Amino acid sequence: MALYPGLGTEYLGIMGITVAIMILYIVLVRTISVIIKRPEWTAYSNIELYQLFISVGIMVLALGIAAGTQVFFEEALGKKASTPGTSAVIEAASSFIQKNLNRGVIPLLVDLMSLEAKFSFYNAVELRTGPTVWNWTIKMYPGLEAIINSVRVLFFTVMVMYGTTSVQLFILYLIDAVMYPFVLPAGVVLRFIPQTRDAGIFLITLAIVFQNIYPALYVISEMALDDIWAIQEWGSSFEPYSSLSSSPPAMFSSAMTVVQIPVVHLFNYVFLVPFFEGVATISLVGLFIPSLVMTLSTAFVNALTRFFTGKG
Amino acid sequence: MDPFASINFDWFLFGGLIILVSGALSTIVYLIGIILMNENVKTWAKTEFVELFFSMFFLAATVPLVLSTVSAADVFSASIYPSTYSDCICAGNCATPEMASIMQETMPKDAPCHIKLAIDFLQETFRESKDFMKSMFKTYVIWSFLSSISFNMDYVGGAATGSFNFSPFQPFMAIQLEIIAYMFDFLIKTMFILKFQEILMGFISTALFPVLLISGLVLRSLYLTRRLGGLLMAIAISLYFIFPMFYVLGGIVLHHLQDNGNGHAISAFYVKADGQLGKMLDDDSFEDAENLADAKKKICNAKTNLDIDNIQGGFEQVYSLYNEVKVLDADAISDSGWIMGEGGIIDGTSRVMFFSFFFSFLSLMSTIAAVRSLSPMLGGDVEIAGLTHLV
Repeated sequence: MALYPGLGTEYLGIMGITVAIMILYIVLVRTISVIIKRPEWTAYSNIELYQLFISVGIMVLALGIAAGTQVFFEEALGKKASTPGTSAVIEAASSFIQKNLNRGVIPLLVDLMSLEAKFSFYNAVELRTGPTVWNWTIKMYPGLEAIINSVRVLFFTVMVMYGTTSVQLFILYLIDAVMYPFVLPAGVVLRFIPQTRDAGIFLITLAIVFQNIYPALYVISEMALDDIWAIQEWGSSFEPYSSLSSSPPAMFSSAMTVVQIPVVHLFNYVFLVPFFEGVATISLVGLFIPSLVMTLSTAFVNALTRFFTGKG
Repeated sequence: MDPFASINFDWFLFGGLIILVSGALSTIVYLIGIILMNENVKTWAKTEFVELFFSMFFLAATVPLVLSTVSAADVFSASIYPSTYSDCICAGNCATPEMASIMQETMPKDAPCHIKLAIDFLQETFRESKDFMKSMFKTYVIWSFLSSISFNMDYVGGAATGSFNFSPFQPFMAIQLEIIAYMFDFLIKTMFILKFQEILMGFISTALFPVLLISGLVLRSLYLTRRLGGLLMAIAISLYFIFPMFYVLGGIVLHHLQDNGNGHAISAFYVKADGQLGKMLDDDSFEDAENLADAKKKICNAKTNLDIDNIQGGFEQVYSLYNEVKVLDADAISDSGWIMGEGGIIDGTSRVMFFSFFFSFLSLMSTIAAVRSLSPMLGGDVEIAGLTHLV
């Protein structure tokens, strides 16, 4: 029977073996200390025995927190994870990031790519006029290179955002696959061994924080963004980007409008402003929130590590 | 104005419950200390009681303290900001209906005055950058058009046939065009960062401040997370009060320049630069568009405007066009020219970058410094995972 999703009894077995080895080690040290009459070794075995009890306490606490937080988040979010063995809060955080990806980054990339293609097309249109033998050639839509470059800047910025968003999603999957199933048991086992005690504590706190606090901060951010959208009356919930392809002004919806773009906007590059806003909003979710979440999670790891090690 | 409007649960009650639980645990620890006659345990429990008292005080005083600090920050920022703008943004007393309408549409609802003033600075810088960029873009369009004009001549003679092509203006305009395109690229990135900061300011005001402050208050009540809680409270307070203040300062500088110039702080210098292209910044923004249209007409309508009977006549026509749109500016790249001179496009771009980055840099640095000094006062950590090493 698994104590909590992703952690089976095989790890409890390893923990049990580790405890048994440590007991043997302590008994051995104590026996030798009695035989060779070394009181400092006796004191050492006492300290190790005390640390063993502390380690067992930490093991129970860590496993309890791990199981408890799973239940807590399922209750708080009002739903279980769709896949057994995965965390509900990580699933909620992943769906927030996927929303940013699917309804923000990708439609914006498509719009910018479409814009770039259309402007490049018009940029290549030239007029050749004059008598047959000699003539003048002029650009029909001059100055579009600057716009194309700007669109490319935005496009590559969003491409970076695509990368960071995908990485965040991957990190969440990785956390779900690694933290509780491997890092936490490894931390518990390492806590029993004198030489790796601090490393064990670090791994335990790392697992707990990244499995719970890290995705929970994403979920809180989504709730906060939903509230902003509701308060500002922009919509019922957070929308990273409203594609111009599907909402007014539908600049790209009809062939006629497309034909008119360079003419209508020849001197009015201001039409780029909605794209600025789109990129800025996506940056908030793609850059600022992840950095804030990571900073707070690291601070949390530091605080918990100091608590468990008693150093600070 | 309720800074906690976005929090949809009874955080006050929740915080109180956490303190009660923490107090009960400390009492148990104290009793254990008495039973074991261990002074260390008793001292720890006593320290916990003191910390809980502070947590209780922070919890009880949060709303009145925040509201009074917001009022003080608002009064302070509104009093130092030019009154024409602060009256409109904060009190709704706008000079014109258009101004009122813009404020209504662009300012976040339910935000305090100092946040709105910070957003006003960012929006105003963005607007000025937009104007500046618009004039630069129009210049670019005309130059690009003239640069693209090429002369082509096909010939058939004996065994050889071919064509002769050359662009008469391109060599003289290439570097200027490159400079404009480069500055244009800078401006695009800067404007994107301005927009990002504007959205971030709204996010801090509506979401980040209440979430971080309340999380901090709750976490501060537990021994396990006291340092983190104090740190979160310090981050929340610094982001809400210190971070926007330097943008307010930027707004004061920007509006002062606008009011003492011709309505532009960034692009005013471009108008000052010289007679010709600077005119593009005036309200009559179609003037140059007409120039371009005329130019195109002259090229395209060969029968009426271009002397097709002889090549020399064609060149003369194009040369007159070149002069007509006033681009033959040999001093463009000189010290006083419109590219490198005072008020030129490099100068203007630098000004945009100054207003975009300098005040945000000050804000960021002072916010981190404020967190570092405020966090220990609230029982929090001094380090923010490496960020504090910046200051």
